[in-house]
Amino acid sequence: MERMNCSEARHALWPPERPRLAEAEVLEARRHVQECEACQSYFEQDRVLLGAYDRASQERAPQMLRERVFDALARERSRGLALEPPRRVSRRWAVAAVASVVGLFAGGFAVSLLNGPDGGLNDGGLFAEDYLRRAVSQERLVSSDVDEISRFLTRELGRPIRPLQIDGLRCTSAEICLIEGRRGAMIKYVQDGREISHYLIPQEGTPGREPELSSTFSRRGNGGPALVTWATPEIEQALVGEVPVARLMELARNASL
Amino acid sequence: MRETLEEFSGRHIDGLYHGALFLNGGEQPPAEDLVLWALTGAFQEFRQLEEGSATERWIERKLVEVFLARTAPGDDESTDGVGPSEDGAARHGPSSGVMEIDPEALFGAAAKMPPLARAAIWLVVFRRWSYGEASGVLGTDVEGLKDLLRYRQVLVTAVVRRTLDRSGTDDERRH
Repeated sequence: MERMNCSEARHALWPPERPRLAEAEVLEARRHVQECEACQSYFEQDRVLLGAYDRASQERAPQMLRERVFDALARERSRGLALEPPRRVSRRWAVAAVASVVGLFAGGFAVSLLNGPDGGLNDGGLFAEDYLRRAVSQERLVSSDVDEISRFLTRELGRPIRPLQIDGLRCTSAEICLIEGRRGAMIKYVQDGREISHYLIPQEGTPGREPELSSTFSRRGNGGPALVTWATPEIEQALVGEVPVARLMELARNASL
Repeated sequence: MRETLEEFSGRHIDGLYHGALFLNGGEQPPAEDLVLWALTGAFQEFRQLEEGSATERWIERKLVEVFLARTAPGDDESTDGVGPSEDGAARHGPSSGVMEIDPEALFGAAAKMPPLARAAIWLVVFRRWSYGEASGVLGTDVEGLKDLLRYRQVLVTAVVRRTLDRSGTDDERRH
């Protein structure tokens, strides 16, 4: 039998970490490498190169790229929307979407929603954008399992997101929202039979900010939900719900710890 | 329940981005565009994939295909007069446990290689594709792939040289 050369040995043993049957070709290739300084160096270089690549690849993809990708996928899906039955947008959804936008506004986003003479509530673009996000995909998880929700949101948003774990507050679902082109999380909770929504919108460069009640939005008119906004580093947050303001503030303070 | 493309993208976007960075010689804007094109271009096909398919391999192939499709034909020539080296022990190769390659230099060094060689090295060396699978994606045979993989030595040489430039040679360090 003709002796195996370097090229054949490397081919036969590639990739080197893969388990393989001890067939004649493999045994011959291993024998070759044991006796061949060049091949030993080759596989050593391979190990070092792979290690260097792995180290260089530990950073996450930029948040802006994630947003571009998810927006593009939503547009792709929207082309087929006419074929699928639309989902109803409930009043609560509308309230929550507005609340989140107000929250972002308080955090420094240039949102004109509340500044216009009409109050901006007729601006369908913001609703349409978020509706589209919800209508077109399975970015919703109904679960009271905090770990499951955390895994779902972390996977979707590319950063650790964990639901609040506070006595009396039961988490019921989580969804991906799209506010001003930014993907974020909306986690729903129930406390004493009342629903509370928690928005977390990652934004690079956001400094921490103490919770404050949004006077612009909360308790507008008769009743209506209260809204508290704050920020932890890199994440704008808001809590909205038809619960006592003091309770909402308490939850926000606990959440910002 | 079957994974959506959004979920799939969320899981793989980091790996794809770093692959795209390597393929684009460390340049971020074209790397980001490449990831975007690969994932959105995969939209229709993803729906048709059978459950249990090797989806990671599938999207890696997509990334390379889009990269090569967007590479001008004239680009596939070595740059800076750099060509593939003969197989064998590397003159600049690391001695075990002594020399560590500068990870930051890795992507930049890729720019010295022609696009097809970058694609070959990314698939085979960094993503551990077999020679047969990789040659199929690259539209060559196994011998052609082996020729492309000889550029690996260029990569090793370039990044080790850069590391030496930064940290000095063994001799320099001793003095």
